[in-house]
Amino acid sequence: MSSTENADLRLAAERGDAPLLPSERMWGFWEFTYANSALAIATWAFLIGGATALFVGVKAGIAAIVIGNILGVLIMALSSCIATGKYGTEQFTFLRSQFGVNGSRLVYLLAVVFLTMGWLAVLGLMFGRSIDSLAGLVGERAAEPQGMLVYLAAFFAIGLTAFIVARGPTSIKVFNTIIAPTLVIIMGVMLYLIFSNSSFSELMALPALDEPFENKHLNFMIAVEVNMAAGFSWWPYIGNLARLSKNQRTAFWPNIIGVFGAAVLGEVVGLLAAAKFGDSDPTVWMTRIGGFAFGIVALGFIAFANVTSMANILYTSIVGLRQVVGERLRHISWELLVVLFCIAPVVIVFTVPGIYDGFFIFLVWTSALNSALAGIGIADYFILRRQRVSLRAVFATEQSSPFHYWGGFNPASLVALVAGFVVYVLIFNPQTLDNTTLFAFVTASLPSCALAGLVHIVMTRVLVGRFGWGDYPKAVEDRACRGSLTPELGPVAAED
Amino acid sequence: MEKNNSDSFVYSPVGNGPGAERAQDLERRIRIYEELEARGEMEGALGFGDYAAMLLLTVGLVATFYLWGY
Repeated sequence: MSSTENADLRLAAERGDAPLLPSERMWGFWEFTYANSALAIATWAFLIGGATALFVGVKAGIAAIVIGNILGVLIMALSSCIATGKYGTEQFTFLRSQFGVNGSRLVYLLAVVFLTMGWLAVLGLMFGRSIDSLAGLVGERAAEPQGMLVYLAAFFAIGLTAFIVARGPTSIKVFNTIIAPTLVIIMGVMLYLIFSNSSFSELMALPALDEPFENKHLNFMIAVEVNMAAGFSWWPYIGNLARLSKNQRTAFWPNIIGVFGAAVLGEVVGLLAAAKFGDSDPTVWMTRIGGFAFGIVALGFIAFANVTSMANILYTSIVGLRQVVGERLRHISWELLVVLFCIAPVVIVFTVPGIYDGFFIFLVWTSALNSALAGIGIADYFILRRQRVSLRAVFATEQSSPFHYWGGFNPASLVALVAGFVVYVLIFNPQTLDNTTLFAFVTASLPSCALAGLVHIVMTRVLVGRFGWGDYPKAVEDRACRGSLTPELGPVAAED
Repeated sequence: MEKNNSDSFVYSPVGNGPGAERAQDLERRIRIYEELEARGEMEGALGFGDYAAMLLLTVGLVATFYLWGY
């Protein structure tokens, strides 16, 4: 085989057509940490911190940020990074084992296509507002958040993102390696400037900006839920980045330093600044923290930090898209696919700019889906499969795959997904903040995650294992078949 | 180690079409992972210590910050 053919095959594997071998994976511990930090450090982190300041004071806000993020990031990483870090498979190809061949497509559509298009539009608009504030600072004019400059800059940001992603993961790696450490330094400077102008006790005593309820514990739990939603929100993306890291350990632990640590840092900065200046918009308070020069530098870097996040989620989304749609899409060039994917976010920017202002609600809604997905992933991989999945089954043709389940859908995981989502909304409505008593004790994401996992286990043992679907270990099938019924419809012939 | 049903499946790319090379490459990659897993040589696999550290870190952070902040 020629070196060109080898390079083509490796590129195909890099883009998700086949599992990446450990020797081919490019990210070590710190490189994946940089990538994660770049994901976490964007203006959304400042906005989440600002949103936290609406519900609780600074001291409780810091606690809510740490608690919500560690729980969200831990569960999210356990469900998405461990398996992809072990096998080097594309995340949604691997999800065939949990949801079926067509079920993984459905999950991709729900969790990635709509979500990524929304995120690209939101982050693009954030970029636009940063540039507008920057221009306002230089031109000594008031910012115009609905002005044409915002939309044009957002369009530019999406175009720049498409350009970076079209050049492949190597260019993303370069971008991450430069931007992420710089942003960590800028955040450190911001923290220093905030603390240098006020004493620690003064800052910790700052109250909430706009408490929705009189019950302080309830407000605290909402703040925790918002931050947990931020942690869970990386579920659709992290798995496809983790597969680029060298092994399971380097696929998991950088999330704790990168996504968790960097997000906490950014959100705490946002919380402190919002509470101190009474405005959660980073493009406003950044100009007040460190004066003119620092404001320009910080706004510029934060604007481009959005682009790193956009590049990471766009790359992982397209890698997944090529896998879930199949051969037809693989004939379209990578570059054209990138451009086509970016059309919808551009349209959203110009036609539904209100998505930026609804960002907070948009984020919490995603947690209703992501928490259930994470619960199903953990239950399936750790409990039902005991951390062993056959790659032959994952990559088998649709009809012959044991992951064909029932018409390509795994009824167990889909019922579990619906159950988790419904329970979330019943416990806590992201739109209205209506909640039940249970929410004040365990949030909504945790019961949604646990219930989805439990329903998946029970239904797999009662239904799926009985039919011999899903290539589960023999013990699961034996348990399901113990008693009166035997597998009659199993599409997979167990030959061992 | 407990076996999955599909351990006995053989992915056998056939023909000489443009997909044959890709199928052979996929087969090679799957075999490498199967051999690594069979030999228990998955470098950097998470072990008991990692999971214990995750649990301790999470419980420690949640308890500490809840008591401190609320």
